[in-house]
Amino acid sequence: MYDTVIRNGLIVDGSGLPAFKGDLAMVAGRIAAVGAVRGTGAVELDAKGRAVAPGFIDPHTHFDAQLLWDGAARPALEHGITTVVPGNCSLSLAPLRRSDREALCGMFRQIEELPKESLDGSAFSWTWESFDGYLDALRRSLRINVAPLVGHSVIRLWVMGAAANQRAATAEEQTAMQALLRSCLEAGAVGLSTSYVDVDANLHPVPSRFAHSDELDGLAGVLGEFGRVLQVVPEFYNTDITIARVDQLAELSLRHNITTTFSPLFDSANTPDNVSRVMARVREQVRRGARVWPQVQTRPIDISFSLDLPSLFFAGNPPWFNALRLARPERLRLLKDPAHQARLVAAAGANGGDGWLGGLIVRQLPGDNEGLEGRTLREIARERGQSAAAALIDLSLEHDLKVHFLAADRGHEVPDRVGPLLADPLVHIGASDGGAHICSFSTYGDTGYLFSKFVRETGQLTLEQAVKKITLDTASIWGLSNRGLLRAGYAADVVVFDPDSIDRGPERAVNDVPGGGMRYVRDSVGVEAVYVNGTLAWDRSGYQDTSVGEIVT
Amino acid sequence: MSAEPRIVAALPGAGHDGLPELIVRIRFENGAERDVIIDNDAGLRLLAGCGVDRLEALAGHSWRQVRQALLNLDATVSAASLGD
Repeated sequence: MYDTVIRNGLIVDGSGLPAFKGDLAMVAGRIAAVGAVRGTGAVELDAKGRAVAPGFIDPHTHFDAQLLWDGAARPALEHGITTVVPGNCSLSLAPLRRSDREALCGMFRQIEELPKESLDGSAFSWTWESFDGYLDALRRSLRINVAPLVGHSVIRLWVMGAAANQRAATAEEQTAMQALLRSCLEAGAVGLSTSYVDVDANLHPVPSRFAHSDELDGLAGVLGEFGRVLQVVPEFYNTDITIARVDQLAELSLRHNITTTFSPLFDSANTPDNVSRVMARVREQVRRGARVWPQVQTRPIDISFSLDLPSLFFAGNPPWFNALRLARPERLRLLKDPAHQARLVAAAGANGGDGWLGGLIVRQLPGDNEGLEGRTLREIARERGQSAAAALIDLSLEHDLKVHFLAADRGHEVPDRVGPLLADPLVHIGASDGGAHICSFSTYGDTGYLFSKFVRETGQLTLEQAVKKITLDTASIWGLSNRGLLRAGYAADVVVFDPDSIDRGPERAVNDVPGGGMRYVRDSVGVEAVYVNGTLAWDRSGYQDTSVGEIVT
Repeated sequence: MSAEPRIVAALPGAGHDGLPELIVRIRFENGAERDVIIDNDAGLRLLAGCGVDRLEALAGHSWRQVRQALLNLDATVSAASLGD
């Protein structure tokens, strides 16, 4: 008898081959059979009308700390993600000496927007200094699989101490870093991450940015010994420098026979040749035999602002821009002045700024007794019988300028440009940043959006192609053995979903970060059940009380 | 031909971190043009440093104003010293 049999599903097995109707059996954490399963299961699930696919793999996350108080990396798991790769962008929580904790926590707080209480030892116990000690701490309550990267910045911190973010390393220090990386890879790290962009709590460059190229070359050599991956954050805001980094990664890939990936790469209507130029260089380097994978996110980029701080959002409208960049007391005086309010409303454009401001979404509204969060300014203005511009001002004044507004789809938002990019065989779908920027926007639901937008709405990817992109392709790039396919003998990471409705839910704020911190999340839509290593970890009834996640390599 | 690189256009953009950003196009002495993307705060400093209140008015200003804004240097440096 099998542990579980999922019957009558549409098997989308991760290979990219056409889906077919069939069953899937699991036993002892592995897939036992796929097709027409004759034996019975202790548990049977009817998946008629539902897709059955390998669990999705998210290759770019920052769940390093969250996994210690939430082994499911909520809400990633409920979106069908069964394996996450934390430790990106040069930052991991190990190896880390006790004396360096505060320095590293500052970097995490800056990049992930975590409150102090989430890292001060009250949410979890700092029981480790070594990388394998960290993995042991993770293993105690994992509900999701973890393929951890080790961060270049923490390796520098361990070897160089306070000098890590001040200077290049000596030859002896480089040798020590290589030995340390070797021990992390032996413990279970799937690669090394580095960054040329990130900053710490004092807006000072993180340690990895002080490394000379020979230091990275030496570390890449160690990755080559283990066949592991190098993840890089290049200067993505500059096309020329990004292309230079592609060349650098290609050289490292060829010299050390390693896979490299960089993130993010995204499209913008105002920098229309960025993607095409970078991809042209990627193709050129791939033809040489290099393995350089650009990571592209599925979701569009939203931006947020309040009237409490000056924002370039208003830079296209001088009357608004000039009023809102005044010192706070003067700004408040102007906003409260009826005559000036009328001038601003008039300057907002036709219909009281409906076109410019009406689509803004209200978020982070302190003491939201009216249920306004998540609604558009247009709706609220209509109810109040005023213009969108007037509603923007009044809502802000009513809440001491602390209301945040979201302008959706302001970058990476044109399906005819993003869809073909995601479908490109040389593009690695990723860069979700799960667990980071938690107070700014939701980094969850990118997989649901992939299906709703680019499979169902635009048809730029087939269902099979989309599943392959976030399962087998990801497992292959990262060298995760026995994951990403529905095949007998493979790990039974399985997601059951409705292909006609899978999506991401609306963004909402929750206060579930240790210390009372808030974050934005999105619930899953259309996902029905998620199995991790053969055990039901989530279904529509909620998260299951399991600890079945593994450190995967 | 300009004696030194100058801003020829500036467009609003959306940053990876969820904040607005500014895409500044610079024309070099040889006529080549390249975009430089700067963050919200640097963009605000650039507008202030150039003494303008609209993006179109950035055109014609020296590239050194962009550097000044990025490095968060004291904005009291005279416009003349920056080639404006």
